[in-house]
Amino acid sequence: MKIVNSPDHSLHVTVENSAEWQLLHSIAQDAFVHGGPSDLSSQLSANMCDESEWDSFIVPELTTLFKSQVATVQSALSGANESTTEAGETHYDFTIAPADLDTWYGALNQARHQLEAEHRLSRYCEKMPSDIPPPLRKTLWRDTQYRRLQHVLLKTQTEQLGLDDETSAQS
Amino acid sequence: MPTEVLPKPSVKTSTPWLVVVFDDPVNGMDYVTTVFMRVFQHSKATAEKHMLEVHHKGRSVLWSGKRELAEHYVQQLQSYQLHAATEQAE
Repeated sequence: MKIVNSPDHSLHVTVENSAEWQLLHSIAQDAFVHGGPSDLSSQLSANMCDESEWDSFIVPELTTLFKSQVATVQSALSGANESTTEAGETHYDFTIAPADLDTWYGALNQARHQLEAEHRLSRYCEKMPSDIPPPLRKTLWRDTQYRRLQHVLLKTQTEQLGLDDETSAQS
Repeated sequence: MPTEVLPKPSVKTSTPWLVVVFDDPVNGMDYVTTVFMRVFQHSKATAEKHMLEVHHKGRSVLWSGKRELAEHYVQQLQSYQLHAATEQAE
């Protein structure tokens, strides 16, 4: 997968093989693996002291936001340009606009939150591959790829907002 | 007639509300730092100090003040998928 940062802080993504294409489609699937956005919204609010009011008003708003993040990713993938190279490989191209950097980061984060809730992947982060149960290796690989994508998105976002410049913010 | 000393009227001060962020195994250090900078307009150094407190102590108090504003901040933090809550200061 090639990700090119444009001067306007949009990201042009070229997917070069079916494994990468499947990985991007897995974002939405994983975001719904453990109860989906509504479950995540409730988890994030679990420490609120007055849960009843929060559950009635804020949790539904968060759920709507999280669902829209996943929908944006699905929409970008369904609208990707498909092309065939001279070597007969299928490539997919799409652009992540600066306004969607947060949205993509959020969708990836949802997927990672749900994988953590379902499999507790953080148990294996410092383990050798041989110590990881085989059924979880693919899941852990996806989580790692999601983190790599998030790293690119966050770097682009902080550059766009000028947050990488220490002097630009106030304490 | 002796002068009666009246007790000072007590000023009822409302207990401030805290915005607390909790550690979680998903959100990375750079991301948490960036969210603190965006939500609270913290400098990078201040944001990193709170991020490290979350990482090492499991929680950090990011802000204190009126309940409505505390809830506003918590909603923003949760929209960034951070585990956050309001607490009333003791």
